[in-house]
Amino acid sequence: MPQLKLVLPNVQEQAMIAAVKGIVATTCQERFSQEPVLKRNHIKWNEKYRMIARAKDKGFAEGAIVSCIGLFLSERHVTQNQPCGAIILYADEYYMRKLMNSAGLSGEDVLNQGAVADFCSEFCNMITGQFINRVVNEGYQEILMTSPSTQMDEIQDGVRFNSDYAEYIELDFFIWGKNVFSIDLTLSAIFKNE
Amino acid sequence: MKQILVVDDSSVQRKIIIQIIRQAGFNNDILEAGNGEEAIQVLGSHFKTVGLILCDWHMPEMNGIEFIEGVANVPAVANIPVVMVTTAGTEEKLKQAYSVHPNLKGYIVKPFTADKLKIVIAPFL
Repeated sequence: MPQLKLVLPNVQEQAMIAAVKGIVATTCQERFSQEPVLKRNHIKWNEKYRMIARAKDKGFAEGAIVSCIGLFLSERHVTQNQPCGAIILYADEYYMRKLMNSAGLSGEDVLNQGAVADFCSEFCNMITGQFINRVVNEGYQEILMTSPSTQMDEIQDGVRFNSDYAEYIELDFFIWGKNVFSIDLTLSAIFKNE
Repeated sequence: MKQILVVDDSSVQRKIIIQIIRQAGFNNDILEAGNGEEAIQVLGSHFKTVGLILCDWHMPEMNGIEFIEGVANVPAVANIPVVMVTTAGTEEKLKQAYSVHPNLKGYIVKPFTADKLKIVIAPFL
């Protein structure tokens, strides 16, 4: 019988780390300088009761790119705007351009700020898709994802989250000795087949 | 020579796919669309010359699954080989894709290697 269960924090972490490592190795052929740094934080929200997603709070310089994707348990939850979680990517613009170079892109594709934002959206999209694939493979139910929303420095209106679970995992990833990007992940209890 | 239609809302992702196609030695003319609706318009004027469709799943306006369902139901384009190129890689998603387009020719989960893409698309070019 399916039971409502919290995806264990270590399962979430491992699924996310494996997803990111696989994507960076396949897409950019780059190696991480060190293991990702893990933090568990309480969600801070704004006046609209949405999660604050601000790159400078993570230590990124001005001009960073923030991309977020909502997670939902069903189409009904999408319609009712009731997410079960969210994934937020914070990326340093300069180093994302370097990653684009490593992915084989060059010239205008890398110089154009819109293209960098598009690359971050797609990066966030792949991370979320791979994370879901791994969680579902652990026996948890399918999770629906929204299209990415990408902005400079912060998600202005904040990010909808599930208030049943007011903590999130932050993972900081290092390439070339620098914190090139960080990921916030918040996920409420979801059904698991026992 | 048959044309390839690449459908993905990310222009960067389309460029990466096109680059891999070129590096693999395929010189086919390539058409691009940013979502299912655009892809329908492109197919409307090129349905006789398109020989392969590479399609993402998550896209605004009309997503990939709605688009390939439409393709499967229009006799003039139903036989064009379609390969999904998407982040949606769970078994349930695979079943859903094959249920709307039983003649789907391949399913590639992002991220993918150049070799993987070449192996899947080579038989149709």
